[in-house]
Amino acid sequence: MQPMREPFGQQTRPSISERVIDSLDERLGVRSIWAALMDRHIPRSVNWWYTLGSATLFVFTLQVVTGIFLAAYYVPSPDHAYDSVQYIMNEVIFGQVVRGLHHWGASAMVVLVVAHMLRVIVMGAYKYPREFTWTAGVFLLLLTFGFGFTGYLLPWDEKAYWATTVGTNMAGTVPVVGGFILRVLRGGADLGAVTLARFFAFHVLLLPALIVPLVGLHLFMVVRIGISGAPDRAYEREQQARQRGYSGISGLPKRSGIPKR
Amino acid sequence: MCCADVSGHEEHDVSRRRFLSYATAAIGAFIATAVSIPIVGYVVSPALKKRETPSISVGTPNDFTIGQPKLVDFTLTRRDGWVEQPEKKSVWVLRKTANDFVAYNPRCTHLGCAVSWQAASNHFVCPCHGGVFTIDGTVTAGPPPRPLDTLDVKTEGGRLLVAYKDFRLGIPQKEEA
Repeated sequence: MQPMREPFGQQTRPSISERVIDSLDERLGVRSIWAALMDRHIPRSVNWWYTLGSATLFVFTLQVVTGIFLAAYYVPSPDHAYDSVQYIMNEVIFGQVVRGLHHWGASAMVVLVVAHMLRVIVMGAYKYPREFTWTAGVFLLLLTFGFGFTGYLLPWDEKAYWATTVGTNMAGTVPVVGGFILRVLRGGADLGAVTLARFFAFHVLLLPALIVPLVGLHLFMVVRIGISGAPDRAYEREQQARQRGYSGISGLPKRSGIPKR
Repeated sequence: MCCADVSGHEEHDVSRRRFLSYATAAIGAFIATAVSIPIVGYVVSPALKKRETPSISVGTPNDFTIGQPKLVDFTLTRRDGWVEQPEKKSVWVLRKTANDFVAYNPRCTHLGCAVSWQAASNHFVCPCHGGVFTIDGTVTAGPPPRPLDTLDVKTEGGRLLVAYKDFRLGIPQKEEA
């Protein structure tokens, strides 16, 4: 909003930051984007369990940042992988912090993602109109497991080697195609240089390329539809009635996802 | 939001909202700083490491003739991050008098090519850009910005030891690389 201009001399000029925001708002409508993201209606029934998604997003961001910097030293080759990790741990300043964050963040991701999913199940938040948010979330869960599985091999120590041996052997027990899956995962019959290189490539290139747009879609749907409140029988009936009422009308049912309370 | 504000402009939940947004921004800034500082150190730290100065045995005094520079080759084990690699290096050793030795780093002070000794003209010559040095390392022609870099020599148990170092190139000052 433009401030009122005084007629004689004493104009109250908006501050620089206001003017920057004004010009951005005029061109891109940034205020409405900010309002859509930050000034959302939240049901009164929300509680701490509803923060698990945001917590996952935070840890995910931390994994991205620490992962990028770990790649500055790490070498995905059998003769250097272990030594390069030892170099990070013993020679690089704060190397233990950066790797430690990534290590514990990986476990935190799995714990948070599962807890987040349990909350969504218990609260019935996967129901209409949030089925697609849920579906995207299921794929995000699988991608998280993919990150965990591929990342576990990278330190190339005994634990990594044998855990991946066991993990790929599990895949090998699948009827008919198991043997083939096992060989594809390892890049051959045995676990070795080819396995390490492809696990690294999947961990830092393929999986991020898949998860980032999916996180974006998941968040878009969360913001677009709004947060669901705790389940409520009366609300459920009302929602079903509304769904029936809207059927046949094109476009997104207006505010249908936001509980009344 | 206490009693001082009698005008009633501030409503309670507006200030609460404001407090929460400031608190969120402050905690966010704290976390961002707490992550960025280690990361800066993490990226910069290998640059802070000083190279070690190995002591190289180049032979006994009598391996050298007075007034005749001799190139001594040796192999260093260089620690390159997590890789240890053998690296071929050499020094020019000159016996000035019976008990006075000087050693030169063979890298031309211009841009690092190896200088060679031309016995015919009594000069060190660099093949890359025509730098020429006298037997005591002074520049007589070409682009080198400073004399040949001398290295410390000492005698220990009848053997000559040279403290091998590399110096920054292309600048007039002799500064350890």
